[in-house]
Amino acid sequence: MKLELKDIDFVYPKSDRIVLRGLNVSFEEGTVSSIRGDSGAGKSTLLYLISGFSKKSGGQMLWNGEEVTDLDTYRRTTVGTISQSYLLFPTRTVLENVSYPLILDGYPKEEAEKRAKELLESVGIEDIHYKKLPEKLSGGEQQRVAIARCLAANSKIIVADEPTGNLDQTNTQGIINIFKDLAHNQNKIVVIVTHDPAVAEEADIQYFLKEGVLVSSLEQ
Amino acid sequence: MFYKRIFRKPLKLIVLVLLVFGGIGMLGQIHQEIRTGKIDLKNISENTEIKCKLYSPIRMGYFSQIPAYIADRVGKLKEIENIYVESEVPVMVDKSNFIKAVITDGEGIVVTAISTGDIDEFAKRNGAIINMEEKYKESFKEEETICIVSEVTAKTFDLKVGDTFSCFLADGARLPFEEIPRVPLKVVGTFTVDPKNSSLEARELEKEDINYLILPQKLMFSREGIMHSVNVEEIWWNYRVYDFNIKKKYNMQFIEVEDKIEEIIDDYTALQSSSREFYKALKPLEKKIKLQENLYITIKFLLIALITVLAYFISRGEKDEILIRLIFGEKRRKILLSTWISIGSIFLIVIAGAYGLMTIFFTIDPYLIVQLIGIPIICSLIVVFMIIRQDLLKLYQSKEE
Repeated sequence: MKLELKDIDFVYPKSDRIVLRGLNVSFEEGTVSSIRGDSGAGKSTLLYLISGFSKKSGGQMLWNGEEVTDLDTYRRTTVGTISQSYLLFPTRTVLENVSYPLILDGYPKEEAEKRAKELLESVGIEDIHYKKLPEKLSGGEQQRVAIARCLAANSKIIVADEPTGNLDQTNTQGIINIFKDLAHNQNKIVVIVTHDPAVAEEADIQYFLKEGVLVSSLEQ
Repeated sequence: MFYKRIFRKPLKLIVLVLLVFGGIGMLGQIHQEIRTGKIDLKNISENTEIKCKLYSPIRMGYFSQIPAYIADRVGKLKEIENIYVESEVPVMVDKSNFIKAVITDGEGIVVTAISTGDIDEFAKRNGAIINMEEKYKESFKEEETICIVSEVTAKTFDLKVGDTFSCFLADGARLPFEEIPRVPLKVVGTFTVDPKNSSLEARELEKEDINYLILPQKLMFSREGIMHSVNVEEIWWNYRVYDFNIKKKYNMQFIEVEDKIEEIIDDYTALQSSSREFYKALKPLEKKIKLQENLYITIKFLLIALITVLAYFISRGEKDEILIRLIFGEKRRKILLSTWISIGSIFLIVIAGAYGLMTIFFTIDPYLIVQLIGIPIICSLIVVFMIIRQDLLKLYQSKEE
């Protein structure tokens, strides 16, 4: 499994500001990649493209060699996004949040909940939290729930947008470990966009963006 | 799922329920009071008679008579009823057409004689029905030896048309009996009173204990002594006041009705009406109803505005839900429909439920529910639509910021 970005350009429609220019990068299964860069360098834009939130202005985005054209399907079947604000349904319980993609895929409710529980357990969420609303959980716990939901959606690519931005050191390390586990043991492609060098350095491959151009990569 | 979720964070739902129940209850109470007030107003209106009078005001010390055609035209207005001559008071009139005197026969029986030169005019003014040949009508200007007797008089003296009798004309005690002129009179007709005529004059002519004669004008004025017996300054005619009322169903339009009457009457006729008193009685009630109507509109406006604001916030609160569903690739149309149905049905259930419950206690304007439900539902549709039509990236960025 591989996500390839070839000669990617991105220009914001109304401002005509070129954010990404001829960007070439490839993300492969079993790896954790980090993307760093100064503010305005285009790292968030790159994340939006990989997440399927917006269309590129030029170039090609290939998933397993095929051009990604239907972004709705791509987001539903291929990519999962973890954000700094966790992006959990605020009025659904932890269990309902994780069950959601399974039910969307047509799983019966009971089966979806069973699977959701397994996934929650796998990211270290105790069952006493299952019936709680996300706001009752700590930041680290909420982020784990978000990861469990990505897993429930069977996302091949997990894109994390500043995933540890709101977390303390212990929780940060816990989340990094989960990402590593997902990549190394479950063959997921994990892409982390961060400004935190410590987090970036945990990745297998580190990319650095400058003024819309990928200027360096460091493979550990 | 939405109903479960709204109960998990029930603050907005509680506010909605309180607002809707309180608001509809309050509006129901006011609406009921307005309705009761209107019924009271209707009852007062339907049970009050606005009485009107037509009369001639005194001008420069002179009274004018209301022409009969004016009363007639007023009487034909569909808005008025029961027009009749309420009262007549004697006033001075032109002496040339009508005088009175007293005559007595040899037996000392007193009858009242009325003199006229125009028998038709006499009949018209007095509501009399004359029974005589046409050829004698003109004679009343020149003849001195004919007369018409009332039917009561004819019966008293056993007189018939064609009979001749003698009588003395006298003015009471002014002349000695031997000096009173003696006049032979031929009966050329009789008269009676129209039973529909209720004027004082007509009623007077109908009295059974008074005998009347109608004499030609010339007889009265040509005989010396007779003229002197009549004090022309005391010749009177009747001043009439017409009474009528506005039909009760037109009471509330009394201003228009009075305008119509004013258009009919002339400069010498005045209209007096009890509409002012009627209005005075209605005004406090009308004022109360008006105040309640204003209050009703204000509260309704506030209630709709608050429900709409709440609909906005409830719909806006779905932004995260919509964003996540979009991220997971759900179709926008599906999200729009399901979100809108969920929010719309909440408003429908709460408002229709509150409305239905409140109708047990109050009479509520049926259109209220349409406005209360329609406006917030449309608002929520617009808000949800505006969220969904946004670019996913912008939606995501606004969340992250």
